[in-house]
Amino acid sequence: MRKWFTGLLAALALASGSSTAQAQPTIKMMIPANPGGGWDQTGRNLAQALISAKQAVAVQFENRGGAGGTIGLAQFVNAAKGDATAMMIGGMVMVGAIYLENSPVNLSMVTPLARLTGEYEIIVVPSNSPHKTMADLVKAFKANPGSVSWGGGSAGGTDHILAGLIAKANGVEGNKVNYVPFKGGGEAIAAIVGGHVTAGVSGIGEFAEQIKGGRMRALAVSSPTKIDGFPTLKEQGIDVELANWRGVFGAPGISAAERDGLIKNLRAATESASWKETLKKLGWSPIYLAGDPYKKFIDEDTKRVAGIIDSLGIKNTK
Amino acid sequence: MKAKPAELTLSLGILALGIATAIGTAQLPRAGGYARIGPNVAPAVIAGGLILLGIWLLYETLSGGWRNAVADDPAARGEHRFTPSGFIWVSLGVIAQILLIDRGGFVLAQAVLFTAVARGFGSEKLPRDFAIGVILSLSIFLFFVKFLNVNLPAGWLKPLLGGAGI
Amino acid sequence: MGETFGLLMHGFSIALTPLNLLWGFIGTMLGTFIGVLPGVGPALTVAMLMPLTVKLDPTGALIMFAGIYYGAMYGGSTTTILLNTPGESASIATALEGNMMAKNGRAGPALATCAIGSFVAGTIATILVTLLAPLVVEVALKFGPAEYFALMVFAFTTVAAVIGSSTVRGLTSLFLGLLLGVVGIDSQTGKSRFAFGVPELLDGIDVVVLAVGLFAVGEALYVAAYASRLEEKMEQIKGSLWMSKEDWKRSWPAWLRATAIGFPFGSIPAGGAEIPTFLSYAVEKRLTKYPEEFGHGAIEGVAGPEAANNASVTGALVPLLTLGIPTSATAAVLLSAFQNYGISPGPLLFQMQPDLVWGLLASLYIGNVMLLILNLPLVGMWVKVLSIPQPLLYAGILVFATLGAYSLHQSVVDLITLYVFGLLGFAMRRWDIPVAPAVIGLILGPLAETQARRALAISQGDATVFLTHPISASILALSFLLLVLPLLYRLLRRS
Repeated sequence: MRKWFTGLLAALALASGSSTAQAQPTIKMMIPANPGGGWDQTGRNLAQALISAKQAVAVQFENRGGAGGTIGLAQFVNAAKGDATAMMIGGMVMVGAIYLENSPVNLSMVTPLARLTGEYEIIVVPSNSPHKTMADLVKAFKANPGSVSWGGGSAGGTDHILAGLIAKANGVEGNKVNYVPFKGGGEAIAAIVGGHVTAGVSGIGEFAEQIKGGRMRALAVSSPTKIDGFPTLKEQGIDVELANWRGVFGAPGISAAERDGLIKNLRAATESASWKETLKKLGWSPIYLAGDPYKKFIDEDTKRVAGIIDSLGIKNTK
Repeated sequence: MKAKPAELTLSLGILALGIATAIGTAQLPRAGGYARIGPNVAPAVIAGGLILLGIWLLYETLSGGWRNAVADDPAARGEHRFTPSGFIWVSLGVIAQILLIDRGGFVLAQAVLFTAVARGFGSEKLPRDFAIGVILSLSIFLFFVKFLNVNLPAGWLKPLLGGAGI
Repeated sequence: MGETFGLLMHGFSIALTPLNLLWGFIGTMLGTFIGVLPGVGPALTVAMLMPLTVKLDPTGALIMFAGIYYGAMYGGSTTTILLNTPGESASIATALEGNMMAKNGRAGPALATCAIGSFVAGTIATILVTLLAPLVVEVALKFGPAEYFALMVFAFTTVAAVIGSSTVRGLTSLFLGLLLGVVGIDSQTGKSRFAFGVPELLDGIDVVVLAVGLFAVGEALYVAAYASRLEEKMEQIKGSLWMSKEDWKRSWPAWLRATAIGFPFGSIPAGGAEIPTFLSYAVEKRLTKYPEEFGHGAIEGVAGPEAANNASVTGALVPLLTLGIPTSATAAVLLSAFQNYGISPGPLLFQMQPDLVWGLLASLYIGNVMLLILNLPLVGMWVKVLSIPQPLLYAGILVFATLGAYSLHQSVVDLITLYVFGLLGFAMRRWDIPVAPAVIGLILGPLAETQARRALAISQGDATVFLTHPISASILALSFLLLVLPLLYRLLRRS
């Protein structure tokens, strides 16, 4: 019955002449988060781009949030097996959550399609802080790690991992980082501006307003090159680079040809004006990477994140 | 005076919950980092509180019953006798909905829930109730899926209803 | 002052856009409609209607919520008066005289004094919120985790107001809420607690599931078991809806006194709406020139408590918006609605999202006007809702209640939890254990724990931080006095 219906749609699509040969009739998109967040925005804007680039006739969403995306991932692994029209949004947060919670499902069980966007991180201090540069902060941190409190998003999340990477690069043990988690970078702002924590870590967008208003001083960004004139960590002698990346995955068990077809659809979608508009509007960096290199990137990122989570001493034991 | 079984059960239940929480708390990691207060401290306080409250309730139960309790006789509360069928039909409705929603879909699950709850409240017009349930849940489904673009499971009716999307 | 006025005018320019007016209107309509349903209070109304706003921008959504919140209060008073079934404890005082008035054929004036009194109290209280909130924000900007923890401790004294007829049962309810609050990932270390390997539990128990389970499912189970076959006696609206000159003369001082009583109780984080409603009832009973009418339908006894309720509920927006502290079950649900949009209420909200805050405040004025218009002439329409047969009414309530819980994460686990809370709610209702403390405990518990541990992490484990910070120390001292003074008073009186 369902096949018949999908077939009818495809026939209609072909008859209307609105699609090229390799376009997907209906893409089913799993968004492993509740409506409104970063993954939801990625999924819904990507759907728009797929349609405007004539890569799909229709896109159906399913939001299934919770536990860092691993609930949606489990559902996707079980229900979408072999379905060449299924996609799932995911990203670095999911890599961390899988490892942190010993999730029975992981990203090796799905088919990586393409990395789409990244948001770089920024390290700030209150404007009246004695630390004028990253070097000042690192000096205080190395002398007495506990005296430097880092305010950022949830424990084990991107912000926490960046703090761990900075510690590691400076030869400080991860579990010595005095990290104070807040619900998100936004909630940490009050504590940073009020001088209750020494430094703040979050996505650049979260602190932009406060930096502009002069209530925070930016010390470093986690990107490979300067952003808005802020120096990178690397320029200041800390060999750390980190982007909170988001990407797309295909169903488990699809053929190589099916995978390549979907990647072609995605590539065309990311080249559309609609997608470029989205990136600009939301301040996301395009860090497109597809297929095997993307798979390799995920494997490396998984290892790196796992190592840092271990050193932070926050992993849940079974 | 004899202790009331219900009060005794509830008091012991709270006490048992407190003890279970204490046992669970013992297995939680202690590491508190710089705060020195780890994930186990708040549960320990709560476990202690529940145990004390359980003992307090038990004391009230055994020394003349809970203080300022409501009347056990429904008539004194202005209500009728306990009607098991009412309780059971409402429960069955919710359980059926839980079992149906992912497979059978939202519309069907809610319509069954609607019918069962109406039955629990004494309605005997099953076909009418089911029809109203279908109309109500179908309107909700269409509003969510087609207007808000938020997916609700279509289940067995998927070929007819489709899903959220653009 | 002038600045506040300018900001408020800016807020009106946002709230008065056609689209936001529409959301406000839909919110007040739906809020009144659901609020009229017997047994459905404002907390449940907001929880049930939460999924409707997913597609709106935050400002539109919050304006709609404000409409729902106020609408539910107005709708609830109609049911209270005509059916004598208060949907929440804050309406009990209104029911005392209101239902008697309706029995004496004066339902019209009773409903009118409620609606107009709510409007007067709501508007005055909104003006006070507008003036007070920016001042609180000034102070709150200096608050760190230690100060917030002290405030949470203070807020826990709120629970005293909703604890009901037995201290031990009220505390039991509170601790059940606190226990549910620790389920899931520990925010400070990322470790999971009491999740039993169920991934759906890692994010914790949603206050919406608890509120809907206790209030809606529990209520349905209880009424089906004990009260389904009762003839509900609905009073008819006979005669004029309008209040006589005499009614006006007796109502307006009551409204104003009640506002003065209700607002302060709502706006300190130790309020609750029950105490001021009964206080207002007691004050009116003492001051009235017609003491013989009390107990038989005295209009002051309706005007006062209802106005006090509205003033206090509006006042509760001060701690909610400026500090992010909920002081009632409804405020707890509203807070989670904010958080669904990634908005953390607090002093920074006023700086970072002035459009949202002032748009919301302005919409409160508009909502009050809308509700007055909706409720007076249209009261007949709302009364019709009450004539829906009970089986269909509760069936409909459960359809919406389960929708509210399911649409949070599209998860069956939430529905199972909902039913378990329904059973719990049934038992709590049957054996007179109040449910509001559990809802407040679920929200306040994790907030207090988190702030305490943040403060200690920053001080590297030095617990004196709560006493060396002057603001924190004063708030803690005040909470201590609030807890100890009544005990001391009782002891002294006994000896």
